[in-house]
Amino acid sequence: MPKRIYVNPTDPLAEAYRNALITHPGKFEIVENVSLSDASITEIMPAGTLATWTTSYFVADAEIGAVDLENKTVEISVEQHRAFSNDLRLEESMSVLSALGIARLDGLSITRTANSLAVAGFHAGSRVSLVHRHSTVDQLYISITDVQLRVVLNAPLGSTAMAAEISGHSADGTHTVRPLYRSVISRWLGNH
Amino acid sequence: MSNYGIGFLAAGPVAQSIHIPAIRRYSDQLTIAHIMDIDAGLAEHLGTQHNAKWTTNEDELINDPNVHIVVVGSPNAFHASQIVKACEAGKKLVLAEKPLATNEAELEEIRLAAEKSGTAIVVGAMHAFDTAYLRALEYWRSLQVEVESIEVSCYLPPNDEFVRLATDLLTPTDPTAPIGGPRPTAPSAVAKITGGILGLASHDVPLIREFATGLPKLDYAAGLNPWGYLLQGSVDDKTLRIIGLLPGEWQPHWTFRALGKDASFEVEFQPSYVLSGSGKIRVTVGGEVDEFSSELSAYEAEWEEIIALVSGAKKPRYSLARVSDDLRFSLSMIEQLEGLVNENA
Repeated sequence: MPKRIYVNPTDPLAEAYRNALITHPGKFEIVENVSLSDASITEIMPAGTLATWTTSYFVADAEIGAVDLENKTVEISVEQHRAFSNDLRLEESMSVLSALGIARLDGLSITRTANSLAVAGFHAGSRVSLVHRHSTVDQLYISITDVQLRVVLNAPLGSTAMAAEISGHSADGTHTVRPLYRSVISRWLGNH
Repeated sequence: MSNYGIGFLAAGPVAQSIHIPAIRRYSDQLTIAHIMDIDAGLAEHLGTQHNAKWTTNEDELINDPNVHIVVVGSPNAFHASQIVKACEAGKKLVLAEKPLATNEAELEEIRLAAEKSGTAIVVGAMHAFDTAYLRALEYWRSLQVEVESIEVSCYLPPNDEFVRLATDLLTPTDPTAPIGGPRPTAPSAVAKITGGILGLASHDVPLIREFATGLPKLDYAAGLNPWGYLLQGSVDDKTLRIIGLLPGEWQPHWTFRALGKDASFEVEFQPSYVLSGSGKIRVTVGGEVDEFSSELSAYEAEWEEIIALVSGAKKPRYSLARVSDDLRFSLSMIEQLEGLVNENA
């Protein structure tokens, strides 16, 4: 018997939740009235945001460990169309860094402008930069690079289960691209 | 149709791999007339190869009446004096490889000399001449939309890798002699980032300044290993991030992005030394995407601009005042490095 799930239509991720729920027809059923539901989608999902969940899956998929974050250049862009306060941008930025495995940045620098925010600092010999800003397309970009390693995530943060892509370069110059066709919400729902 | 003689001050990879292949496309209008390099063997070899005079003396080249266009590809410290000499010799045009100068005093010397002689000054920031970029920029301006964030993300294999792929380079006859004379044994982090700003990042500054006219305020600056820079801050209330990194044999990635809530201007550049078409530009407004590209490389477009200027067919796209302001943008970032860069990090 599928679990009956209510999705608040005013939730910014409502469409993303719906698109993910219908990929598990045997497990979940969307209901339009909270009184008819077994649970709300927000009760099922973990704490965090789409950007932090996507980062967590990236860490798992690309098998990024602490050593992979040492002495690197780490470039991150969180880009979303909807409005954010700079406080929320900062909160989400730090959550993304934490999900990546960067609990704190030494020499933390924060740049605030009217509609975007940038943080930078050091972590385990790595130079880390994250910009959180408005864009026409909702997406997350993470690049971890040094001479031996280059791993890049290009992931949508949109409402549909668009493909994310992890690409890497090994030390011999081999370039591999790994597409991921299922949204992180769908993957979470499939595993929980 | 007139034919203009070109003199190269320095015969290294930029002359051999970029300009000479590009100008051969315009051989009915351009002739390689004179090659100068401090390495006599290299100057002779390249000059002979192209049926041009050769010399180790810059004055000999600058005073050659058959040289109408001087390409200044020497080390940064010589740019200003050589540009001034070329102006004083009445040359029609100087193509100055970046940077145009290294400080405000040199800029003023160039301004006085160029205004007196009427010599056109072009700075070799090739992306700024990319025809697809310029068409996209014209379209963008017609939209009258604003951006809130600007960034450059540039990951390139070392130059040697591209030079090797593009050209069977004539190497210095004395391979132990570093180009431009001896270099500091252990440059400071500030010196390395300064080199990056006046070098690789100079390509990006003209584009940044199409979207922000003020001077940058840096909040963070760091050198990147093995070579590169991370510059982060703001300009005109837009976040600004400039990353340049030569990490290894990775696939090149060189993008310029100006982003807003409802519109974005994004460029994927060809790497340096590559004559294989223009950058690829995407302009997104309200969900509609327009893409721009051209078969003409930015280097070739730069030389088409030069031909138009020396023949009097058009006025400079970028005035000396404009390229000077571009340099001031770079110098402003350099001035801020001392207080930001942690030499021990």
